[in-house]
Amino acid sequence: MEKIIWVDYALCTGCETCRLVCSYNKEGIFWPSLARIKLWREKDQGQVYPLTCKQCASPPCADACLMNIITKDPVSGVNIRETEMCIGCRACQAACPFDAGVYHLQQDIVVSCDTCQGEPVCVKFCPHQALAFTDLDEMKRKKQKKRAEQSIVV
Amino acid sequence: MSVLYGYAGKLLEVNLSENRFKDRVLQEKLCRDYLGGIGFNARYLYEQIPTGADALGPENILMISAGTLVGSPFPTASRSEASAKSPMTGLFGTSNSGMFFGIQLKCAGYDGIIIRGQAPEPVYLVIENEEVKVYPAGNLWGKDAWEALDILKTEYEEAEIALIGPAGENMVRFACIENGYYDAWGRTGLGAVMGSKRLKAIVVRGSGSITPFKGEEMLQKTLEARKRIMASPFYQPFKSYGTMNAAIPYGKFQALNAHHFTRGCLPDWKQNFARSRVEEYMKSHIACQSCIIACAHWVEINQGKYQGLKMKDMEVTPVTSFGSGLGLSLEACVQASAQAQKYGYDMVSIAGTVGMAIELFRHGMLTREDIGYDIDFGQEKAIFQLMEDIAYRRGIGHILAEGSKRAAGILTGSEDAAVHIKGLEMPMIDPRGRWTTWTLGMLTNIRGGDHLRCRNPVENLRYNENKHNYRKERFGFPEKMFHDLDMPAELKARAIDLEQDTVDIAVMAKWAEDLINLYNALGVCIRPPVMNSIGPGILAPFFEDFTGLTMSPADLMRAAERAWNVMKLFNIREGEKPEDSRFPERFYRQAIDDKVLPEEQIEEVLKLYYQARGWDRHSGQPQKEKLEELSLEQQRYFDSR
Amino acid sequence: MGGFLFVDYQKCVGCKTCEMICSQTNEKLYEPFLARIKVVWNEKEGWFFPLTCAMCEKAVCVSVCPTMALHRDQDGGVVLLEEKKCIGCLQCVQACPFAHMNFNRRKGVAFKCEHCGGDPQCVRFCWTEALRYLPLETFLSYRRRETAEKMMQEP
Repeated sequence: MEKIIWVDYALCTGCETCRLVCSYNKEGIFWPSLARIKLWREKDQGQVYPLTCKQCASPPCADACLMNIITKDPVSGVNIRETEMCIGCRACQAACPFDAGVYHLQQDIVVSCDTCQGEPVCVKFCPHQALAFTDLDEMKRKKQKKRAEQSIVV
Repeated sequence: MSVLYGYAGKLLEVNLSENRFKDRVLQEKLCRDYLGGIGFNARYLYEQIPTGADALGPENILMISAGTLVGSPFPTASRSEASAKSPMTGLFGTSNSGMFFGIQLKCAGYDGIIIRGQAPEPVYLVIENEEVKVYPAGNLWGKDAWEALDILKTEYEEAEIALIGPAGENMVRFACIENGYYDAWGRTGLGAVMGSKRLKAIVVRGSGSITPFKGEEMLQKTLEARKRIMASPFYQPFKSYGTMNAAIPYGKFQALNAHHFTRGCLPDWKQNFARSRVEEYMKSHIACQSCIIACAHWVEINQGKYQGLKMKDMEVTPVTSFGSGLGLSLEACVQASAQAQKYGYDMVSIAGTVGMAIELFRHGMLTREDIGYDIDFGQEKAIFQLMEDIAYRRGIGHILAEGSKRAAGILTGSEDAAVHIKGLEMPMIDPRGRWTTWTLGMLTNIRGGDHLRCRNPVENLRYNENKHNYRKERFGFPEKMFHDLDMPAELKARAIDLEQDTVDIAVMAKWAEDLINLYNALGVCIRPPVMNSIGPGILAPFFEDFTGLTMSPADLMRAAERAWNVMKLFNIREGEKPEDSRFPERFYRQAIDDKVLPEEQIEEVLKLYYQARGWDRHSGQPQKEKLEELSLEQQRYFDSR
Repeated sequence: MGGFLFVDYQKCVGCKTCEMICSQTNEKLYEPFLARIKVVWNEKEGWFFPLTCAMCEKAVCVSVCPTMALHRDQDGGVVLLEEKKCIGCLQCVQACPFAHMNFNRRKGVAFKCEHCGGDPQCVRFCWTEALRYLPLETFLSYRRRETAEKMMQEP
C-alpha cells in the first residue's frame, strides 16, 4: 500500500525540527532553506502549516515540466525527479498549488520530497506527532473510528 | 471458458506442514455442479480426505467457503460454511456462520480457504488481498478467544477473524471456531480440527471487488425478494424478538430439553423466560451482511449478580441449552454464553455434556471425589467450574472433553445418560413433546443430532398435534401461504394437503434438506421469514444476474441435492450405518407427559424418507438411479496436488 | 433546495447494504472501499455508525481544494467533485472531519457522495430508516414527532 506523509495541523507547533533533519539527511548539512518540507506561517492566526509534496495522483508539476523528468514510481507512488536533467526553469514550482518544490540554491535545480525511500526522517523526528507516515486506508480507518466514537452517545 | 462473475474465482490452499500456498482456480463446471459454500466443501473433502483419516490428525482437511451470493445485496446473503471430518461423529462435519467473514474473504480474493497438514508450532494465518502469510502464534496460544481477538484486532483493524479458544487448542472434541467475538461455526467440533492443526486464527482483510453480471437487474430483484420476505408472517416477530420466538411455544408443548431431557419443560419456564423479561435486556438489533431481519440482539444485563455483562446474545439455542437444559437463570445463561464464547465451545454440545455429568452425579455414578465438587442443575458456580475444567482438560474434564458418546464409553454404565445421535449431542427439541419435519431432520441429518439442516419452510408453531401416525404435521396457514410458497407445484401438492390441512413429513423433509443445502451453498440465511418466502424460483434468476451462469430452479435444487448426496457418500465411506439414525434409548422408554416415541412408526416415516431420497433403507446407500440422475460418476474436480 | 441525508445511528443494525448498493450504483461493482458511505462498526461493543458526506455549510474540503475541483452546485446544497480538475493531492481526504472524502487509486482521483443526483440509492435500499433523505424542515418535524411519541409512551 502506498504510504503518504500526513500532517495534523492542529498538533504542529512550528518548531522546525523537520526542516533541520530533512536538510541534514538530504544535503549532509543543517540548512533549512534546502529542506523538502516547508512551514507556512499564518501570522495573524498564530497557526503553522507544514507543507510538503502531496504526491498527487496526476501531478500538475509533471504536466508543467519542460524536460518531462517528473514521473510516478509505480510501487511507492512517489513523484520522482531525474534531477540530472533538470534545467532549473522552475515551471514546476509555479504549477504546484502547494509550493512543494524547493529550489536548490547551489545546484540550480528544483527538488522535492521523495519520502526518504519509505522512511521519512521528518516523521521520525517530529516531537509532537504532527507528521505521520501511513497509508490512506489506515488513516481513514482511524479517523472514521474516532468520528464514530465521538458521535455515539452511550 | 467464460468469465465467472460474482465469484472471486479462486480457492486458497494452505499446507501448514510444508508452509506452502497454492491457488486453485475455479472451473465453471464445479460452479455449476456444486454452486459454492457447502457444495465446494462437500466435493473437495469427499475427494481429498483419505478414508478412515484421523479427524485430529494431519490428513484431515479444514475448509471454509463463502456462499456464492455473498457480495450481492440479496437479503441475508452473508453466510459461509466451514467443514472437515468431524472429531465428534467421525462423519462429515460442517457448520455455517454469518456476519462479515464471507464478504471479507471474497474481497480478499478467495471463495474459500483450505487448510491442510499440521503446523509444527502454533501459528496464525493472515490473508490480505491475495497475500498470504503465516506468523507464529506464541503470544496468542493459551489466551481465551476474546483476549486473542483484542490483540489481533489492534493489529488488523476491521479484519474478520476466525479463531479458536482454549477448548480448541486442547482439542476438546466439541470445540467450535469463533467468528469474531460473538458468532461461531459451532457444531461438529471443527475447533478441535483447527486446534489439531495448531492454527490459532485466520485473519482475513480485503479491499478487492466483486463484479456482478447484470447489476441493475440484480438491484431490482433484491427489492422484490425483500418485499416477499417482509410479507412473511414471521417477519415482524423475528425482526423484533429474533429466534427467541420459539422458546415459549416449545415450553408450552413440553418439548424442551429440560434438565437434560428428563422433563418436558421446567415449571417456572414461562415466568423466568417471559418475553417481557428478555426484552428488558435487549438493547438494539444487530444484522449480518445484507440482512433485512437483524434477528440478533445486543444484550446488557443491568441488574443482579451479572450486572454489567454486555454481549450479543439471547439466541434461542444458548438460552434453551443452558436455561432449560441445565436449569440456569436468564442472566446466568448470558454469562454461560460468554464463557462458552471465550473458551470456544459448541454451546449445544457443552450443555449436553455438562448435563450428562450432572445426571451421572445425581445417579451416583460420578461422585464428589471424581469431579472435585458437588454439581446439580441450576448450580451456576459448579457448572461454570466444570466448563472451565473441560476446556483445560483438568480432572474429570479430561474425560468429558471427549464428548458424550466417548465419555460414555470410558465411564462404564453411563450409556443411558449420553443423549446423542451419531455422536453429536442433541439440541433443544424433545421429539417426544413435538414430532415434526424438524424432529425427523435430527435423525436424517448428515452431521448427527442437530436441528439446523432440516426445517419445514412452513412450520406452524401454533399447533402441536399428531393425528396421522407421525407421518403428517399440521399446516395451519391460510391458502395464500400455500400459493406463495416457492416450490415446484407438483411437489407442493404432494407435500401439503390443503384439504386435510397437513404437511407430509417425509416428503417435506427431503425438500427442506435440499433447500437448506441450497441456502448454505449460496450463503443465504435459514431464518423462517426467508425460508417461507424464498426458494429456487426466486434464487435462480438472481443467481444468473449475479454470476452469469444460467441455471433453472430445478438445476439449483439438483446441485443442492448432489452436495447432500456427496456428504452422505462421505459418511457411508466412513462407516455410517442406517441403524445409527436412531434417537437415544430414553426417548423410546421414558415417558414425558405420557408420551414416548413409538419405534415402529418412526421407522415407517424413515422408510418413507429414504424412498423420497432414492436411498436404500438397508444399506443406506444412494441407489444407482439416484447416482445417475445426479450424474455423480467418479469424476474428479480437483487434482490431488 | 434539495434534501439532506440524515443518519439515525440508533436505528442502524449494521447490515452494510448501503455500502454495497452505493458501490454498485456508482462503480458497477461491489468493492467496499469504493462506497461513498461507510458503516463504522465496533464488533466488541456492538454499535454501528454510518458515515457519509454531511454537505457541510462551511465545507473544509472545498476550501482546501487547490484546483477548485470541489465546488457547490448552483442551488448551494450539494458539494460536487469535478473529476477532470482533481489532481489527486488527497488534501480533502485529510481535511474532512467525517473521514468521508475518499480516494480511488485506480483512477487517481478523489470521490465523494453526490446524493446520486437527488435520489440517493442507499436511502432507497435502507430498510431500517436509519438513512433518510428529506428537506430539513420535514426531517425536524419527524424528529419532533418521534421524540414526543417516545415521551408519551414512558410511564
